[in-house]
Amino acid sequence: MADTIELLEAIGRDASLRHATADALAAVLERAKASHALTAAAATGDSAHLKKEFDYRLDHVTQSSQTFPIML
Amino acid sequence: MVASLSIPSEGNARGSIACVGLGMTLGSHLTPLARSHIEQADVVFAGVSDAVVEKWLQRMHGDVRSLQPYYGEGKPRSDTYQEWVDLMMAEVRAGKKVCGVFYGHPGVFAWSPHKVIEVARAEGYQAHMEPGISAEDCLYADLGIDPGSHGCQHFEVNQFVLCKRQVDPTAHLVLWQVAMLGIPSVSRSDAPAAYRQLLVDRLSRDYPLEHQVTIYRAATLPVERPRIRKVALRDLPTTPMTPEETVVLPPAKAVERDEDFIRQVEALDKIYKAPVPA
Repeated sequence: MADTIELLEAIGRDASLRHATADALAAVLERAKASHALTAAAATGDSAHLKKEFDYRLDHVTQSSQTFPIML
Repeated sequence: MVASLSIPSEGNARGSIACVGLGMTLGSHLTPLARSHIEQADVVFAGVSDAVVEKWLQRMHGDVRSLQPYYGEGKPRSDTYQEWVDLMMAEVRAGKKVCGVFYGHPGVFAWSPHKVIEVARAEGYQAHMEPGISAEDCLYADLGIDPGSHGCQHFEVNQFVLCKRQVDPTAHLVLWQVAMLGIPSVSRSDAPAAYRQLLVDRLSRDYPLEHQVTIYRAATLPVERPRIRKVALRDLPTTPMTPEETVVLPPAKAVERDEDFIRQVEALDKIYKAPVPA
């Protein structure tokens, strides 16, 4: 199975992959032997499919509200 | 071909801090200089958008320390942010070359990077911020907004509601972290509808309730698309939102000419742009 982080980085920096249709990207990933999770995420545009593969924790959004640190 | 260039390492180097941005989308936005700061650091602290992005960062450096565990439900975010500064400064004082990595831009909606640079400089350490592509940058591209066309106001939502801010309804209005209204800590769910009704009450002074607003989230993974939803202002309280989503209100009124200043400019034109005699 291909490395998911490497594939994500490759998609992120390639103009044709980054803007490919979901179907086209999923087909490319299948040929590249990507994980089922990544292929499903690409096919649906929903990164929630990657949760299981990465033992995904739901992160808090960083760089959150500035008012409370300033005002309180 | 460029020859290999390098600065000789100094013995007994003092600590330093660089705060850099990863940009919003994994693999798409990281600048060469930000990557270099990460790779050349002794220790990297990470305040990024999700666990996948953090794992990507771990491929760039062997000592990446997540800042996520310092958040806590019910714990004031201000406490968390101060702890982040203390953690980074402890390594700077120990003589380490420290890199603080934050998603987006490290200086936009980010208290700790600004603070740690201020503290480091006050103590005589070298400190630097390297910009990144922020959610605001992505918003302009994805929503097709040019802040130069009508102007654009930005407010963090709590400051907008809790303080007497002046709204210009002839410009775009961008409200950040609307789901965090009234929440001084962190939360897995957004604020009750009653809090967001206060926001709608405030906005209704300047906008009609049927005004169409956009709820926006930038893509953080390259298999995602931006999330863009449109709702009427009146429906904002009951529309589920996540903390990273942003609310954008387009202008509700046309700009008005200021005839007094126009006359003054015309008077100056007569002085400075008069035809030169032949």
